Amino acid sequence: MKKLLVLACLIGILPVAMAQTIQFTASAPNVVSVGEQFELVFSINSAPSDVRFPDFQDFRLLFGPSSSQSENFQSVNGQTVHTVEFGYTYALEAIKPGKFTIGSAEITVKGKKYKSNPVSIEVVGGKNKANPASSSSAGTSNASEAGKSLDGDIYIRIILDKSKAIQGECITATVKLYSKVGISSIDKYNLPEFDGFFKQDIAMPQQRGLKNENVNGEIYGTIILNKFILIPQKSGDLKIDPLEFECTIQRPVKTRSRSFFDDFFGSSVQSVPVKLKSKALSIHVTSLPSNKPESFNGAVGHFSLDAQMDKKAVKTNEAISLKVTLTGNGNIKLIEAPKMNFPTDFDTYDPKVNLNVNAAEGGVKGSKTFEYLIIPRNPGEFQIPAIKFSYFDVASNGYKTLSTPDFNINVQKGADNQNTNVVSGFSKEDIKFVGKDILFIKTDINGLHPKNDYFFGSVLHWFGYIISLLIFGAIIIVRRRFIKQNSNIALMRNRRADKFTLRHLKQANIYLKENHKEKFYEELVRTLWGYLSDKLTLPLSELSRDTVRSFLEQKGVDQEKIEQFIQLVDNCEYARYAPISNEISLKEDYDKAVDLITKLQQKLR
Amino acid sequence: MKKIVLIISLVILAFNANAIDQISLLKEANTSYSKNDFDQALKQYQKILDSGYVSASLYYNMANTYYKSKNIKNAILFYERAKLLNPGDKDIDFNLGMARNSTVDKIEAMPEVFFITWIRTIQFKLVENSWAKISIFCFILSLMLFLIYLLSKSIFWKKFSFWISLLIFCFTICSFIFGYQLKEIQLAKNNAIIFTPSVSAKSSPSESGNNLFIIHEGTKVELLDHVGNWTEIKLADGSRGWVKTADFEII
Repeated sequence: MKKLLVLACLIGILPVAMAQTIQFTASAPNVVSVGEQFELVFSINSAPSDVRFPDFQDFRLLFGPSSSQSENFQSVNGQTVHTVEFGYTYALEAIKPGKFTIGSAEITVKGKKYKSNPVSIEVVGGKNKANPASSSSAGTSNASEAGKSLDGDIYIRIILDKSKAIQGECITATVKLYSKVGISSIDKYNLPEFDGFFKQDIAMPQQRGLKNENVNGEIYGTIILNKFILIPQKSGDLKIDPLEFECTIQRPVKTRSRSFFDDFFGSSVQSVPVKLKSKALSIHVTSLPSNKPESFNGAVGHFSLDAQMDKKAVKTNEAISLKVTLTGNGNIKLIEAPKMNFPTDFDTYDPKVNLNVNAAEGGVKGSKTFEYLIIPRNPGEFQIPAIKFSYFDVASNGYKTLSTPDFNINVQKGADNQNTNVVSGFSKEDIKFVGKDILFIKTDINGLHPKNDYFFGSVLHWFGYIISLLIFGAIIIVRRRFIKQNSNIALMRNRRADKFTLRHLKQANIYLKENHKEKFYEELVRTLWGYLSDKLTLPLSELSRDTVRSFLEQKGVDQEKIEQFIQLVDNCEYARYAPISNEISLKEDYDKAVDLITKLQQKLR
Repeated sequence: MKKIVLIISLVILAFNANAIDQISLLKEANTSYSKNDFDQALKQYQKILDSGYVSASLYYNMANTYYKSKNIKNAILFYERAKLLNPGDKDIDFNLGMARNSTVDKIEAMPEVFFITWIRTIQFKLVENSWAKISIFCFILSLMLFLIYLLSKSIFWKKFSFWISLLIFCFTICSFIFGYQLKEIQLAKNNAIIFTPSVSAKSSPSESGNNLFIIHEGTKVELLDHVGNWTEIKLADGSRGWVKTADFEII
């Protein structure tokens, strides 16, 4: 048992009583085993006059009370504090198992009566483990001895206050060391990685007392090494890895050669390094229900919401401060700022976040303040819609939504308004794009056509080219013909002249054979005149001997032939009406005319 | 002769009746879209498509509907289809850009030579049928000017009409080529949109090929070659690889 006291001294000293108020306390281990000796100490920070102790009928009184006194002078900044402590110690032995309460002692200090706290002690019976040294048997090696008996003597646990949790709920975890042996030093204390959890340490008192605890009928000295809050960040079965702990324990060892000194000094003590591991833990985390309110952003616990605005009526460009405070118990550290819907015309800045939390058993308590600075740039009546905040209430297993009232702000035009000099274009505002979206559909219903129906490459398309080409060709051909016809009118006449002349000459020939003198000459004159008329493209009425002469000269006909022609015409006209003639002269005239026409034909072609 | 005329007129009548049906369906679908009833709108648009009718506006409206229904890959596919039919439309480009913002892959396109960009800008101003009409018009004009060259007696007019006629004949050829290219792009079907959420392109047309790069749904690729059920693709930045034919949808 002394070893446990050593451990207690290692980790912390028992709290010292305060000087001024009188404190009268009783202290004893809370668990002992049958036959174990223990101390019951009554302590008081003032000199008592009359002391009355309770009965110890459930325990055997070994000796006592032995009184002690200590005085302490402390000088801090010139002030001297004097503390006195009186102690009364009993040595008791537990005789039977069960739970017993030792009643309070009574003392009188300066005429006033004080009572100590009652002490309850659990006595565990049966096993002879009260003395750890007795369990080890002689004759085995030290190392194996240590390995063997360590199994139950010392272990470490992580204790969770819940085995099931909802995502975001606070779980309190306690790291507790159980030992039946003395520990001389802690060499290694590595907390595992808490994957999937947000971890927050709980502040522990500097001085931690050692406590006896009954574990399945065995007494262990226990000490809480660490406490923290775990907040699961995801759902599912989350694992917590074992923590690693190394320490050096003090082991009593019986030496092989039993000597006189051994008995005298008791068994010797050996330092043995020990490696410990806690059990791996698993916790089932259920996800939050899906009917989340819109303003929910992961808060779990119990909260209250408050919002304060420092001014309701301001001038433009004056700053307004809006404080939104969340107070409560839960994963407050992880809560993000509630969504704010400031008028878009306001200049806003990211909020200043002030966190004031205290981790304690059962959750993280405290408050989180978001301070928004908003600056209205334009005058008018504005409204900040109600701030909404939702959280999951673990107690009622449902979502709750908190809301503040709407804030109305009246903005007056300030004296020094930047916006007055808009003319300079200095503070002209760009159009604010609040959102981005695609353009609206096209509502024109034209252009719907069967798939793969192209005008390009269609028959109609090619027809366009072909038809225009055909029209072009046709125009060219028609034009060609027209030009040709125009240029051939003279030739046509010429051709007609030949035909005409031939026909009339034939007729004249017929008359010649019939010896029809008058008709013969008539025909011959007509032939000659008609021939010239066609050849010179002159109407008959314009023909005379002079005109014929001048035209033929123009055409380059010999003078001689012109004379012959005129003479022949004269002859014929003369002979036509002359009474005397014969067949020979008719024949001659006919031959002359043919000859002349043939010669002229060469020139007038 | 009378019979043929009768048949032709009947066909035209039937065609018109069908087209009128589709137009009224299109109006209904647009109304559904305006009322934010995208599922209904999509069904109606699809019905028009199924009846064999298309237009750039139809594809564009369908793409918008898909976009609103958060179906980005289909939205991109239909914007691209609309763009094929009307490559110069600014609205399509804008919305396509919006849809592409929601995709994973950001691929830098290889820069084009500047004058090709200019030519494309002009080419995309009109659709292929308009180019066909312009081509015919220019052809007729150039023939007329050539006639003037042939018929005119004045040297000035002969010279003037000859050169102008030659110039306009060049226009004819250009607009014909523009229209031809636009139609070819539509018929070639050598572009596609990736539809599988994540595809790794292989170095060869088999599962055992090395992984070259990973592309995600909504990315536009050019199709180069087909081997079995594998297709060689080319990204806008020029990288090539083989993917399965089932991983994409042809535009």
